[in-house]
Amino acid sequence: MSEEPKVSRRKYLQIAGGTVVGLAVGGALGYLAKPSEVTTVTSTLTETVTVTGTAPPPTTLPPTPAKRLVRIGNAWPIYLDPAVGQDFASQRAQTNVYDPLVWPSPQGPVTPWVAESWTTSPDGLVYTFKIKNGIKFHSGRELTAEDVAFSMQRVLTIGQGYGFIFAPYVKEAKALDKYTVQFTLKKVFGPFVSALIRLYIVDKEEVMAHIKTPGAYGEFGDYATEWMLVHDAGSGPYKVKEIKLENYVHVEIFPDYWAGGFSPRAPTEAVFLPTAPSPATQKTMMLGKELEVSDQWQSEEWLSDMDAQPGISKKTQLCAAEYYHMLCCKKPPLDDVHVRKALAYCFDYQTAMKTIYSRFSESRSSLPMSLPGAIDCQLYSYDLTKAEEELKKSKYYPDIIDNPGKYVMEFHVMPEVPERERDALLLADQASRIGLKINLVKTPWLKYIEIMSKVETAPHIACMAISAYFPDAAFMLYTKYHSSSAGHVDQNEYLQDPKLDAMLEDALASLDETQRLAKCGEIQKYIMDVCPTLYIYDWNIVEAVQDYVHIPSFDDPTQTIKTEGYSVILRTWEVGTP
Amino acid sequence: MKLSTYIAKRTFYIIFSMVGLSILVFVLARVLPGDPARMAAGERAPQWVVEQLRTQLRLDKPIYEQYFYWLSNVFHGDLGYSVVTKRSVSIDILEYLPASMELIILAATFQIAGTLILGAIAGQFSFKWPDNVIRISAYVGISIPAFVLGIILQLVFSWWLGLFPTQGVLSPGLERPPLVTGMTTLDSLIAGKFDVFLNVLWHMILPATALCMGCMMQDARILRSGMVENKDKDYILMAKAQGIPERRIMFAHLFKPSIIPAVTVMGLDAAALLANAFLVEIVYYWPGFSRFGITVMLNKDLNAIVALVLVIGIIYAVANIVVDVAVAYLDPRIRLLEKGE
Repeated sequence: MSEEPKVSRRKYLQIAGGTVVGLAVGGALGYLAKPSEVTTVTSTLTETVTVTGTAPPPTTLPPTPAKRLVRIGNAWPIYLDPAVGQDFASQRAQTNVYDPLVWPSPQGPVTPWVAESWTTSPDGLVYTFKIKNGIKFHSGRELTAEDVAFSMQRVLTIGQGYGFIFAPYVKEAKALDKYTVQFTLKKVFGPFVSALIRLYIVDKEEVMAHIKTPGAYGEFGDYATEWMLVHDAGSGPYKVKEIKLENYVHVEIFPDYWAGGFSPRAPTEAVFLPTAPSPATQKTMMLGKELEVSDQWQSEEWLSDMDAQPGISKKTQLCAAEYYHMLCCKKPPLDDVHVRKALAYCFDYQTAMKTIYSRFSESRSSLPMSLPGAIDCQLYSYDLTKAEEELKKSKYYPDIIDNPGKYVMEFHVMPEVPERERDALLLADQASRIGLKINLVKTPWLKYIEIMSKVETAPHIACMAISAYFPDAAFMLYTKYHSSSAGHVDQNEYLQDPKLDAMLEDALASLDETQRLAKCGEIQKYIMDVCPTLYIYDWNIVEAVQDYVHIPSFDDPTQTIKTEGYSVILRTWEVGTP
Repeated sequence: MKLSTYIAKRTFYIIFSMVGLSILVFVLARVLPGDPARMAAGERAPQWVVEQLRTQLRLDKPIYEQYFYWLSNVFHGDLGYSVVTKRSVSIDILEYLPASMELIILAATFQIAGTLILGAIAGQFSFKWPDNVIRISAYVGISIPAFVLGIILQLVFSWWLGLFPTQGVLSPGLERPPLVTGMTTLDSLIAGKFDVFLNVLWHMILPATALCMGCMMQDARILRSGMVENKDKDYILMAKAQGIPERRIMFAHLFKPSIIPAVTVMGLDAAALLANAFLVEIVYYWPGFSRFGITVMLNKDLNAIVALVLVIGIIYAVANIVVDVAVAYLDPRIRLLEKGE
């Protein structure tokens, strides 16, 4: 009887080895199937493009532009629809896909953009805009006054997105003729023109062609909100190539862009990654040149590590945003101004800046110093002696020292931003030295919004970074401190001060900007004296950037537009060879 | 009991299980903190917009009414509105689930192949050096979490060696194939784009490896234990005494009964891949169902949360049926027992 050969160790090792080889071959085949690297133009980056409010003459793109792709770390969600998205991540994409009537300038005031000129009625209630001829949407249609009026109406009706800016003030928007649009206000709104940087103009015909009925908005169905999740109806320098929700927003250059202004090596395509990869993945992607710009949510340590890598630099630009410790003025013992001032003297600002937030700058006011109208009126510095003196003036003294357990304050921090726990601990530690007890409570973002919405559940102390929606000091102060904002994430203070409300309303009603800013100065001093908030740092946008990508707003502060979203103006970027 | 009857009976039980699961998750999701209407409208939206959305989403109704409305929509194929993606949850599932499934299919393939090969080698050479190496590797593979392994693989094979991409589905420059199944691999084959197929496969190798490693090592150990246990049984000794070749003994007599416990665990592990994939999908930026699941849970997207749990529940239930059928095929005693009933 013949025998089959015994199965040997060699045989089994051959099978195992064959499997490994098979995997490697698969990997190699896939590697070979990798498309060729995107070609880029190699040159020294000596040219810079200055973006001003006046539209430069259209720049002719190179006849056969090489593909220049940039990938940008962002955050979720990105709702490109300007009537829906209003957060930082959405703004960055919106400013490249849509056009507003006016454009913010690095110096602060807005300049004409789609609008050529405008007039204001003497009573400040009627604004009439002349818009430029020949502006094309991505669909090929011409942008007219009808589109502008429709865009405003859409924002007001849907109520999300930037609706909160316009809804209290705008009564009506209508097209007077093909290139003239008129806005009628319910009441005087001094910074109305500045606010229009957040009115992104949509293609009315494109929107109406894609409405879904029945919908929440009567004859307008869903107002094409579902279609605009993954499409655009804009006129901006870039148009949507593909959107995969929660994955990426891929835009490509719009060659017929009316304003031109493309740098010679502007990106031809850009991918915004809505759900930023984890820090480890982002690092590997940056090192492997699979990501050109990181997101701005990384820690100091991560950014410094990236800065130390060859070919990558940490870049900073100013942003009109600030980080606050918001003290709930309706909850004992913080309902006493002297306790609040004691806390303000307790916080070691310099240690926080040096050890936790070295990439930011110390706050000097209730407004970020980069916002026109902000004045340096900081009254408080780290001084435990003054803190004790203030505490002694409070109505809770000496009980608050003898029975600290009766006056425990809860400081809620979001675990999603680990750095903030450190500055909260710093405050708690220093406060304990004068007898004040602060407990830290980790509260996820969802619950944060919920508890802040009512004074009964609002934390004693909450921390938040808030930015200006458009470059106006009065509106930022209004959204931060007016009674109507109490319960929103912008305001945990629940100040509800009638005098302050009147000052804010008066400032907003001032048509003259100089007057308005002067009133804002007084308001800032008043707020500082009332001390509802600890002002920690002015937020800068700090990101890791590949050295072969030149972003003017990072490298030249005179070109930095400090309003959120306008820091990423893709057409001014220059992309070299990786 | 006939196989068809058995499958029909189990499917019937699945329906009841899913109804119970949906009630549980429906209620739990609604007692979690957070206002979904406020999340949908945005933090700065005025209250009237929030209330409008609340009415639209029927969140102002009693919970039992919400549930029955949701259930009746499910029977029409409508899983509700997602406040995160702002579209139907059904569309989200159709978009994200196939991406996860193709990753899991590859991971399951690696898992099964690896289990069989490593387990067989360890079992055949038990207590010798191949067995020792595999056992130590198994301890390491089981103890390292999938996302840690994912990061290590990324660093070693993507960054240092440059053999595999860091993340994503497709390399820049390649166009996605037209959407047919939602699985980019299948769609590219259907479209005849072999280069796209290979490229996607290339992108999938590292995340699939990270995902399957723990289960594969565990299952290999179970197979190895089964083989060691059965090796000294009388029928094996009899087969050896009869001069049956070692190889035939291994595959015809030893392997099949030894693999039964491993198959049971493998099936459940394969089903668990979907639920465990979220961290791997985050590390590798894979646009899958699990990563979507994390987003909807963090944003209290009620309808999406319920749909997510139901999908995972159905997959588990189906995997259980498949495992039962496979075990019945492998173990003739089970079939004989059923015939005897």
